[in-house]
Amino acid sequence: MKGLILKDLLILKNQMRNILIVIIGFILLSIWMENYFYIAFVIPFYIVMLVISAFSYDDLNHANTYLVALPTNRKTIVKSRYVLCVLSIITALLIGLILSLIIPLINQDMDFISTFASTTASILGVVFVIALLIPFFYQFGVQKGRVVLFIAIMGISLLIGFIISVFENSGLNIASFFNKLEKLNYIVLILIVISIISLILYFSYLVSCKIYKKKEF
Amino acid sequence: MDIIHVENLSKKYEHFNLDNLNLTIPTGSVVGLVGANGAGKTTLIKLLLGMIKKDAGNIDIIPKEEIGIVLDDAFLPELLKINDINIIMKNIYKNWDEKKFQEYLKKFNLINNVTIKSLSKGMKKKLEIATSLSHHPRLLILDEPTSGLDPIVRGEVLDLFREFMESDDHSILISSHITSDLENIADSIVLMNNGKIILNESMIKIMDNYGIIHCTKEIFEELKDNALNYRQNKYDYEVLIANKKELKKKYKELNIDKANIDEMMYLLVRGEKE
Repeated sequence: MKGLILKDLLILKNQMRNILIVIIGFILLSIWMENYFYIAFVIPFYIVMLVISAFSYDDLNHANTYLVALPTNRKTIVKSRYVLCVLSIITALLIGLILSLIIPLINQDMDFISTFASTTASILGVVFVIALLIPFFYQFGVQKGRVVLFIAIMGISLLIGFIISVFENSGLNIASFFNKLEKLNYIVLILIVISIISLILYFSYLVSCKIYKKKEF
Repeated sequence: MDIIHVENLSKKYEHFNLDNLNLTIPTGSVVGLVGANGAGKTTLIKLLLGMIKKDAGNIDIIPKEEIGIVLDDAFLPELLKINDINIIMKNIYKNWDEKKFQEYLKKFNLINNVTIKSLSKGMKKKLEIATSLSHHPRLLILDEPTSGLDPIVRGEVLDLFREFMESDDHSILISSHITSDLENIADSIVLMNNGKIILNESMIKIMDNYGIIHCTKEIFEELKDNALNYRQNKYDYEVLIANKKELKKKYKELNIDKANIDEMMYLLVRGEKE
């Protein structure tokens, strides 16, 4: 598994110059817009999204065809990709943490907790998308996977909209539910978020394994 | 001892079936796999390497750890540098030999610090071949390893394969459209057509027994029973036979040409015999 994770990390290392240029671009943009919230939000997001690029590079060179012929088993290939995902989440959280410590020093309007909370929320969002994406990528490839995912998200949004409208009509108050959430302790909230992320990723991993094991190259 | 033993292997696709295939590759031999595009060569190789799943039959093959592979159109991502391959493979093959890999790189004039993307097609193929040889494999499975290479590089690559075969317990299964390469290196030829093996013969027997006769209709009628297959051209008949010595004795005047693999393939696949 180490070899497979190294494969992705080395690609990222070779791309480091481009990655840094994008990150510096984000920083300059947020200074220019005088919106520090923006970097705290977008940089961690970008780092997690890099996992997706690993799939594109594999697809481009039919790397999976080669990998399954090597002495590794298919489960390990999938697992290493999810480990990469977790590594990128941890990196993103660390960077988010550092930014949340620095930004309040520059901008007195912002405090640590709210900055870090919004970073975490942004990461949760992108992890949710990635957890959905990976099984689609394994099933359909990167290009088709994106299209299928888009259709799936449209479907899910319609479903959620439908459910909410049913709830609203039944007289329950969703807004008050979210207000109650806000009153929870931040630490409890972060723990809940981490558990949700872990659960979603684990479920996504199981589905991906099932797909990849059956796949023909 | 056999290094590959395949029994009644079948794989069904919508428009193509690999049908009840039987094949044995003894340790120490080089087997050339030939056939038209879509004949089933790559499908067979993919089944051997577990890249696709068989529908029926048995495959006995040594562990992947001991197999070196060069695939037709698949390798590690192009954004990796040559030295990255060393780092990755060190963690994939237990027997990865860093020193040997560097030796091959040197031999092929491959520089460590460049990305795969920047290599020409030929250089890339050389890198794939260097990678396949650097973990002390006992068996090489090579799908079109010499395609896209110029004659000089092809010669170098074939020399490497010959060098690999200097050990008695080494074997190679190689598919190629460049059949002259196979004539140089293979001990036996397996010809596939429409998912079936239609010829499995040692190179010595091909050289000694097989031949092609260009003749008139009258002579063809006389030889007809000996023909493996034949083709009627505008002015003559082209007949493939597998009993050269016998015919030479019987018909002293008869001119029997050496059968090269391309011509044999063409006659066996496209011949007119029912």
